[in-house]
Amino acid sequence: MRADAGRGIVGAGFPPAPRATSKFLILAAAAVVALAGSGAMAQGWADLPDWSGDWVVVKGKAADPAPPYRPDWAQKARANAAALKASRAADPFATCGLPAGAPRMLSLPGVHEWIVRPGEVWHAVEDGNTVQRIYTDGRQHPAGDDLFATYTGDNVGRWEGQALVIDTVGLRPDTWLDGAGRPHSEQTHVTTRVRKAGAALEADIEIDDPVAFTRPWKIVRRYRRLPAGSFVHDFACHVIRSAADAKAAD
Amino acid sequence: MRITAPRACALAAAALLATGLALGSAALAAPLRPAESLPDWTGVWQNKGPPTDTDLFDGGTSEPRGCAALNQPCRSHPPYRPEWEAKYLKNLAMARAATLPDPLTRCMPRGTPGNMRSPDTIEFVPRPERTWIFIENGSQARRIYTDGRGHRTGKDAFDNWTGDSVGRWEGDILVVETVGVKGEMMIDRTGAILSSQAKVSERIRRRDADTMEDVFVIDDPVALTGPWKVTRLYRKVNGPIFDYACAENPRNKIDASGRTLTLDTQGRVIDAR
Repeated sequence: MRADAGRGIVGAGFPPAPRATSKFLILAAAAVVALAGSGAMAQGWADLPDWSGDWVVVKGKAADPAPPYRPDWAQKARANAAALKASRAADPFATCGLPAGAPRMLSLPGVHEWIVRPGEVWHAVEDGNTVQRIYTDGRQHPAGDDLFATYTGDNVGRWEGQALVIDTVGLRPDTWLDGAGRPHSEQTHVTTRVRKAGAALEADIEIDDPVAFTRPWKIVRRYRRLPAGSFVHDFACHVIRSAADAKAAD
Repeated sequence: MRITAPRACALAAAALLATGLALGSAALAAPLRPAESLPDWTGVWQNKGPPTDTDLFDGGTSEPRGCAALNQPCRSHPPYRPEWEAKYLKNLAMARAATLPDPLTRCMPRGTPGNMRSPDTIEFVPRPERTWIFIENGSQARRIYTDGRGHRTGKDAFDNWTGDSVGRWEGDILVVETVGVKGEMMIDRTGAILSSQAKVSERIRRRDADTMEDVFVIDDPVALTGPWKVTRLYRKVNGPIFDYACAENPRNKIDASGRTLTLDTQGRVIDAR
């Protein structure tokens, strides 16, 4: 983890806690008091935007810019892409049961939900039943051994007005950035700024990877809201596998 | 088969994308509960009872107490009709011989209501329009729609694992009704099953600072002679809740045809030959 990975979250808000009795909330409240000088604002429901409903990724007219890979990582990316094309490698996500992880989950097909509550936001994606938990209660990334690599990473967020700024570290290096096989290192640090853009939601994603990239890679994802009354389906990737198994057993 | 599975999953994802656009039944214009008035269910919770879910769905923490409180063998629940009793006894015999092909061990969803008896942790996330229940094991997600909509109709009404859940608030109790579950899903590791006609009613509340409570009444005119009442409790635990990567432990053997074999708890292959 880079020394500055947690920088910039000290201004995060804090939810009203009418029944706050847990040690955690007391500690967090103490932290907010400590941060008062930095302009921390209490964060209540009235301060939060309405991102309810079901969202799907809008395909952009322009392709993402090429990732600014260092030469050896560009070679890894080309090798993955070639192996995919030749069916000599499987997308780790498509083998069922492994999460796509962050930041790839921002680009997945299927329904996205942004579940906004004081203190925490859940980004839930139908595909893979992927759930990313973004803590907006003022906490920072864990330090030392408490920060270890996971699929969705360690996510802390802060509200800048109606925009959610997510800071993500602690990502496993064996996930891909996308379905094209683009790799990344365990040093990946993602800053995602999510906000309303007209009727759409827009995520400005900045992927910084000092090992693999020469400079941050900036991409944008837009989401459009499905009509009211939409719903999210179950996702059971292995049912396909089981059907294949059953056929093989016949 | 190992090569074709990724393609099949990609197809499944494409199908999901297409069907994800389908509308549910028309939402009613019921006023939503103000967000500020929602109960505080924050935190991470865990099923009370044995850490492994080897007991009956109503065992361990059921009220009245189920099998775990009595001497084994015990199985006074569920109130099966004879034909379903026979099916269950067959599963129960496999469970006792450690040969039950529990779908959960093959990275399949457990479905409702069995998902509320999953190992690992669970979150209850209320918002005015929906309440989510995120289950670490799987991972699995339940969505309970509280925007006034009814159950799905027409082409949207098909059986699935989590079913079709709608809810309403009675004070700080979330009253949930679930239909449309897949028939004969195993809802626990004793092999208890329900039919696709099951209707699962739940009353979910925070009983006290450290306890969430889910009171189930399961009606199933096909499988049961009467309502099956179960209470499950969840204790507050220190988080966090983690990602779940079921396929990280690829110890299952593949046979010559590419079929993934099911193993018992001792690693022995239990698929029928």
